[in-house]
Amino acid sequence: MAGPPPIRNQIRRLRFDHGEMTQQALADAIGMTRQTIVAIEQGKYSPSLEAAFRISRVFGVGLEDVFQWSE
Amino acid sequence: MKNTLDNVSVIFYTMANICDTKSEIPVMSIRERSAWISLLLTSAIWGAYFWKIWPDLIDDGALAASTTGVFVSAVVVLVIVQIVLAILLAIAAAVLRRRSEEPPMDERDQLIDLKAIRVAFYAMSALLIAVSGLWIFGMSPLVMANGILASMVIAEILRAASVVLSYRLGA
Repeated sequence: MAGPPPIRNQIRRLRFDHGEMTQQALADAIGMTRQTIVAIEQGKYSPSLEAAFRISRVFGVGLEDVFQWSE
Repeated sequence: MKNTLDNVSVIFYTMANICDTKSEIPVMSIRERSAWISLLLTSAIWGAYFWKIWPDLIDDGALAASTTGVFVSAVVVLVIVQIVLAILLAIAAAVLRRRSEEPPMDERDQLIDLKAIRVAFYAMSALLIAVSGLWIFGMSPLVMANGILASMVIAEILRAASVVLSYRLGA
């Protein structure tokens, strides 16, 4: 089984910076389940490009401020 | 001053991470619960059936002589039981969903479902080919019918297990 892709994310930090936004609030904002947010945050699931853009727009930052490719 | 603020920010951030136990132990979604129930229900109902009929399946003649009627009625009853239970579970899930306002399937749920269906499809295809091979050994239609039934049951168990595993692994 292939391992998870080398993609890091700053969602936990961004949620903290946005008044300790809950995972549920973020999930509601982008139309996903909290379980999916948990999986994304823990790097176990890579979201689609559309979902990635939605997340970055919620925080008002660019895509690469949320997700980074780490070699 | 700025350094002090940065340090305070880091301390708060670390504390928030430690206290955020919810992110470490995600609540089981309704879809995962449904998959668990389907897995347990299918395993229990059809496991009991095949456990009961297995000795006769090995002895083809005994099966044909004694269980043709039992087989048909058992399958009909078990299918009805499973359908009724599935309907009750669907209603319960709908009520729970309304209460918890769980959103409809998102992209990860759909992906997990598609992967599970692919697993079930390959398993059922392989098993059906194997069962059709029983014809060469002169097995009765009743044994083959049970083989087809077992293929479908195993495929459903694998589908539900795949869904559960995907949710557990977080993929």
